[in-house]
Amino acid sequence: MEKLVESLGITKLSKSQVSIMAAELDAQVADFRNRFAARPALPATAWPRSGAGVAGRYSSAMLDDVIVGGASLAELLGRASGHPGVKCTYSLFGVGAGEDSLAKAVAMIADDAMRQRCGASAVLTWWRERRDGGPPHSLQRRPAVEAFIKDTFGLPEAPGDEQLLQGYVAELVWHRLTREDPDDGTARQLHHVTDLSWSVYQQGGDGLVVYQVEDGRLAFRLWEIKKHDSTAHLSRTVGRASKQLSSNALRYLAQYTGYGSTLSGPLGQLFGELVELWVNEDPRAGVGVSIATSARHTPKRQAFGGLATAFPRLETSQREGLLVVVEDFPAFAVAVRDIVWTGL
Amino acid sequence: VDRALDLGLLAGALDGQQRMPTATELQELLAETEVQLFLRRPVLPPALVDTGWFLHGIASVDATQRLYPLARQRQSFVVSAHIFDLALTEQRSTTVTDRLVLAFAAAIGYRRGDLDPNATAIVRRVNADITAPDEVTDHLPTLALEAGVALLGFQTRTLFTLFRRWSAQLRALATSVELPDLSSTAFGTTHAVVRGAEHLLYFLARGNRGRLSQAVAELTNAAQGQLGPGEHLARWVAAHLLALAGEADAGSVFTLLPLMFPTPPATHSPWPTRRC
Repeated sequence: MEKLVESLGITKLSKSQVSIMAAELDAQVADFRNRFAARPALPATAWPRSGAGVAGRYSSAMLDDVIVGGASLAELLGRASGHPGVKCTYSLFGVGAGEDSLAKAVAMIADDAMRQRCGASAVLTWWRERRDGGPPHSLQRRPAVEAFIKDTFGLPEAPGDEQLLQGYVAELVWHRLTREDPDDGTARQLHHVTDLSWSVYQQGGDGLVVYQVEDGRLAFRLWEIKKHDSTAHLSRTVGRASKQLSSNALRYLAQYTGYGSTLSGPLGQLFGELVELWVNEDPRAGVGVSIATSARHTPKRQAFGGLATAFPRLETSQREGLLVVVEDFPAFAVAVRDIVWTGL
Repeated sequence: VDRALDLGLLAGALDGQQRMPTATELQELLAETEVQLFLRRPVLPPALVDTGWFLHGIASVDATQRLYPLARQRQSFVVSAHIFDLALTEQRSTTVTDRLVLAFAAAIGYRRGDLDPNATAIVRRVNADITAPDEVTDHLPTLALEAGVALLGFQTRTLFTLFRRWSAQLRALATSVELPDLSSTAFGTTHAVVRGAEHLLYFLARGNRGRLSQAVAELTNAAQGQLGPGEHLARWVAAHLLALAGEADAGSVFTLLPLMFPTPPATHSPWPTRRC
């Protein structure tokens, strides 16, 4: 509070004035959050449907949950045109999305997180019923629901770290947009998206996406996903993500190889070749950096140059940038968490 | 150390890959790093770490793909394990997950490279990171890694108790959400890794082939992502334990000397066909 006051050029302020200002700020923040969280839940038909309802039929991150009867996240956020001249392919979503669309996006991401965590267990039903205004959980059920929520989100009495929360929500947004595979003007077809980690305390690549390209072969993109909530230019975060990707790529790919190469067919073959394709900078290999941020950080100039710096020998088409801009991303992430908590 | 620095071994593992250090350069990198560690000035060159993971990747390709000769894969396991061994000694591996990842990569490399005592030594160094807290949810993000590392240590005096406790805790969590197990949930792969590793332990320690079949079934489903989303490291562990099960089956005294350790014959192969 003192730093905020100083930044406003105020040198003297009484304790009571500080209290009043703090209370007003709290009210404004709560109001903003409520604009997302207090929206009525989407009708049941609008919720994504998953093939994960039967154990053993779990489809590993394939296109198993495209929205039925509602807008996709890409439609809710809206695609905007990118900045020309960047040394990578570039997609921009969210600029100008209205409050209603953002509220739906928040609800969609919260539901994604819980579907991923709960799978076919009864917890998902319990959580949804409570989220939609059902009665409180019994004393037996409450700990079970908490067990599926507390990682990363934390619990109301012990919230998780908000920076980590933002990073996790940025990953959820990227994962959904990628699986929806909005038309990007290329001829490639989405073939496989690796699962998103349910915990920020796990490590590994943020995501590996496999496409079938024009010659029929499979190609991959290794992604790093970050949130940006800093006074520094967004390009700093892109640069950091790119360097991290460059440093850790072989570790991520070697780990993917272990289990991916047990799959049969072209996908298993691609997983078997990952590290060779990577070190040879083969055209079938590539990278991506995705950033989720707030509108005030929207770059006025190209911000993904860090990708070219970190991967100078890759072609432009082998470097991909994705920028998701919402009005206030930290509030967006907190709103996702608040909806998750309404199911407690 | 001598074996890991053997030029022939390094050359065999690298197989002339142009974008990686040559065998001689790698030998120099390894020697210099070991000297620095001895002098307590640990700095692991990024090129060495990259080489370790590259070789781990080569070694990890499922053998049925026949992409690389088995001899090269074994050499790659040994060399990468030695690099991860050095990395584990370096002080920068500060998080539990970091240490467990390096420990698992090193220990599985040593085991699959026929250097079993080195694997046991690696596991002893991270014993403190293998835990069994009252609340299993307190360490679910690392539990599969813990189970994998613990198994590779093969300290049977404590392993049975440890796996019994983890299994009971996971069963209780599944029961609380009205499921027979945690399949399909975010914890499904971890649950399968713990069960698969426990079955494998019983096969390795007591020669129970029924347990081998169960281990193979659990670990195959876990490695191929059939049991739940979002557990990249658990799938990595599962894939390597699955391969280890196959190698142990082929080389097990219980398989080689069935008359000494009679067990009911398996009615069919425990090894599944690959998933499309």
